[in-house]
Amino acid sequence: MNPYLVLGVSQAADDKTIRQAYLHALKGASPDTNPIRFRELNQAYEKIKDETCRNQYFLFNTDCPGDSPEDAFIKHVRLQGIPKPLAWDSLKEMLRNCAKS
Amino acid sequence: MGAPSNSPSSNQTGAPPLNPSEARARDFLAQGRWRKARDEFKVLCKIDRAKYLPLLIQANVGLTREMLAKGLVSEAQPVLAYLKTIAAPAELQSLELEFALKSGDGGRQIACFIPLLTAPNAQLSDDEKRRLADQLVVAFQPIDAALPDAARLAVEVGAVQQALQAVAAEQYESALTGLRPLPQSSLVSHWRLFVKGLVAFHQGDRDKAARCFHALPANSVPGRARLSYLVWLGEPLVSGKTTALRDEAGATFCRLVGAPGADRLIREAEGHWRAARPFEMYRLLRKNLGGFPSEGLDWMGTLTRFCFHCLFVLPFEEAGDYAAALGELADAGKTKSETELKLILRALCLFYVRDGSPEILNSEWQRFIGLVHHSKKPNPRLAAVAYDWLGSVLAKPPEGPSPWMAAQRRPAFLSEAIEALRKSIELDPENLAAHLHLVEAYRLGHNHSERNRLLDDMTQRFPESKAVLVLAGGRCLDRKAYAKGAGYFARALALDRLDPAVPDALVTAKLLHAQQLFKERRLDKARQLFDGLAELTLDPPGNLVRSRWALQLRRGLLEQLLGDASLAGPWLAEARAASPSIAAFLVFAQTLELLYASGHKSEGSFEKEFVRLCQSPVKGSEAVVLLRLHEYWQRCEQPAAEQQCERMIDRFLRAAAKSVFQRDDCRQVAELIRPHSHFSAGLAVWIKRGLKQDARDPLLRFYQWQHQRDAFTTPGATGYRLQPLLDEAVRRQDDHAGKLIRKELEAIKAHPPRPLPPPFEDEFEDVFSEDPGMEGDEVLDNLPPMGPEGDGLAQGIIELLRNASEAEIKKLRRTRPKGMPEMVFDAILNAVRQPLPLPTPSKPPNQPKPPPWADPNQLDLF
Repeated sequence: MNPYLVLGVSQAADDKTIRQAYLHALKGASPDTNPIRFRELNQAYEKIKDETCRNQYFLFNTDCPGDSPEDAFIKHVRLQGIPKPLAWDSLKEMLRNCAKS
Repeated sequence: MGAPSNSPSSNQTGAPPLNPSEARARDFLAQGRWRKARDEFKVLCKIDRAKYLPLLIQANVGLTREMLAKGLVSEAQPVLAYLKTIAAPAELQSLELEFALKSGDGGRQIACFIPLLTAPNAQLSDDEKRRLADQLVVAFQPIDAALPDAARLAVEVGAVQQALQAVAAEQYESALTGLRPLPQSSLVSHWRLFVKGLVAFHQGDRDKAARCFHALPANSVPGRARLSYLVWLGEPLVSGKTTALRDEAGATFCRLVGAPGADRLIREAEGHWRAARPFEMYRLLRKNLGGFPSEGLDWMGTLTRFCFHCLFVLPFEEAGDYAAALGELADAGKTKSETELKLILRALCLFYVRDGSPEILNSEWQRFIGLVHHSKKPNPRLAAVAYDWLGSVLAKPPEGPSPWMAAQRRPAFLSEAIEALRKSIELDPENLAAHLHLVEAYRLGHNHSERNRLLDDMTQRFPESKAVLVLAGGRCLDRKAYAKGAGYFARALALDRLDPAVPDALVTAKLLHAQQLFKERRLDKARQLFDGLAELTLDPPGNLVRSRWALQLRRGLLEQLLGDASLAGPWLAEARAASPSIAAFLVFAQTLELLYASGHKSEGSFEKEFVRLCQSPVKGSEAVVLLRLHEYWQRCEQPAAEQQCERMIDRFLRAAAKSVFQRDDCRQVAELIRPHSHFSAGLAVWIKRGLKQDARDPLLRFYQWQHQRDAFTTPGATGYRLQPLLDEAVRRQDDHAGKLIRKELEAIKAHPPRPLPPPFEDEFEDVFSEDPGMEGDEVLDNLPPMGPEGDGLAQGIIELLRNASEAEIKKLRRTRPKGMPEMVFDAILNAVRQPLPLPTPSKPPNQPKPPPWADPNQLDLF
């Protein structure tokens, strides 16, 4: 996945910001408690840790963000963190639509 | 009102016979053709209302249910209204409830059914009751508590509604507290699970959320509403054929994640993708999304990355079509934005890097760099990386019909490559990779002075880079600046003491320096150099540069040939004693003597002793050491030593075949001898002898097959030959043989050899054996048909030979393709050269020798 999204930093972030985000994210994902996330964070950090890596990533990265457009979209939104609840009107509309179907 | 227990068309025994109209109506009713049945019974009712009214009601009920099932709620409404005029209200309760549920107009209508929920003797199933209760909840209207038995239900429904509202307001604690008093027996108790699931989801407790959502009844309203949350949680709700973002779940999911309305588009794009229409997918997204393609980190950016990066995961042909379509878009100047053009150029350059034209790659990549420069703030380091990549790609030798051909060719775009690499260094002088690529490009272009200058500059700029120091050291050895080279290697060793190639290179440089000093008669200094090698000396005899015996042998020989012969004896005696075998000592000594005595006549005393040794019984296992010696000389690219070594080993192999040897010796030797190499004949004698003892030995038969097969064996023929050997190996539990044979079979499956039926080499040899006196042109005319690949190979050889200097011809002859007899090579050479005047050597005779130092792992002494 996109390392900027994994670490939650902008594409203009500098080395320091990226390292801070990486260390912060690591606090919730130790290799014992969440090895998958830990590996994901490490891989993401390695890709953009310094300017050379970021340049390489920008120019030559060909990683596919998913197996299909839908998969890429779902993986993308999962990386964004837990969404806020639906607004009251949207929730009502959603439930009414579910009642009709 | 269910289906009648008896068929409506059946006529009970003793009943009067049916008239045709009634019979037809009953048939329609039995077949479920409600509309036809209704029309028939309507007419019949006018004749006998009492008799036919129940059947008319039945037909109308059937019709209403059918319409509701099809979702035709508005069409069902007049039918239901008509039914109310002819049927008793009690008969229609269930149907009216179903209509109310389907219409989704909970509120007022549903309230009418509250008594059905609360009455103990109500005729509704639990499922129907729950659906009705769900409708009361999603009506989001207060229930009239004054209705009989409605007070409790009104409180429970109100509590659920308030809890949902609290969730929407992110008041999770209040949502849970509000539902706590809800009894388990309540008709809306499943909503508590839903609210709990929502709270857990938004608080990040994924496991609890998934548990709560999974416990919901699937056909309830919350059971359907949970789907979008489960998609987010990554629960496997959908099979491979269906899409996760379908129906309301997809719409809600997209609304939840801040992309309202995206579900329809993504679903459609998914359809194109699954139908192997990637360009249609791209076109759809491009047309319908304003900000697409995007380089951002939003979901459109992710879809953009998917659309361009999928090129690298699609099957080759599909990807080729897609790339061509994208290319057409860019060529036609129809790109939507500069970003789109940039993304297309980048993807296509990376995609076509292997097979595309370097010329186009050069122009398109430069265009891409220009666009990047234009769209972002100038970033010289980024541009340097981009130019470095371009230079390294352009400097790659073109792929030929064979690896041998490729190695001989000069990259067609070398000057462009050098220009790009220089530009990269200009933009970022600290770019080490660009420097290294430029060194390699100079080497390929035989531009030695520039290469030396650049390497000297690099040692100043990158004093801490081992790769640079090793390269610079190697280049110094090429120019016979041994002391300087040793200095670079010593610095590299200080940086990395664990890489064994660096001390090997350092010792090599010092030995060459010592040899030079011996030749200059500066004996004391040369001896000091040898003395200084003590700390780098190894005891195991395998390393022919740094092992004690090899160093002692070199020193003894140098003393004998170029120094004080009286000092040579002890060194040679010690070397002989420490050598892995006498044969190895004699072969190494003879080959070294040949090199050190250049300009003097070699006495050949070691060879004479070797000949005597071969006349007595010798151990087959010693051949392994000798073959490693031969490998060493091959790596050193010393043809004279290599040929000398070959002669001696050949003699040894034949002598050893006459002596007693073990099967394991044969295995070790066979694995060191490449098929169709100089020693194949010697090995064939070994194998033949081994097979005399055990004719079915799978390992020996495998080696025999390996050394006898021709270059155009088809996979089928290979399988036919190897399968019985594999079976035998399995039967004997010979794991080693089994492993080798399986590996060969798999390799042939993965990379089948060229499927050309004519046995190229055999026929080639036949041509010459029948008429060795043919002239060059006749030879070419009489060559067997080779097919497109063979033609390419021959054409490539002809082109190379036509343009090669004498020095290059010598090298080409030595490194000709495996299996090509030397006479064939000479015949081609003659044929090529006859019509044209011989090219005058354009380069000095000591010109380009490929550096053994380019790869630090191949550093060896010669």
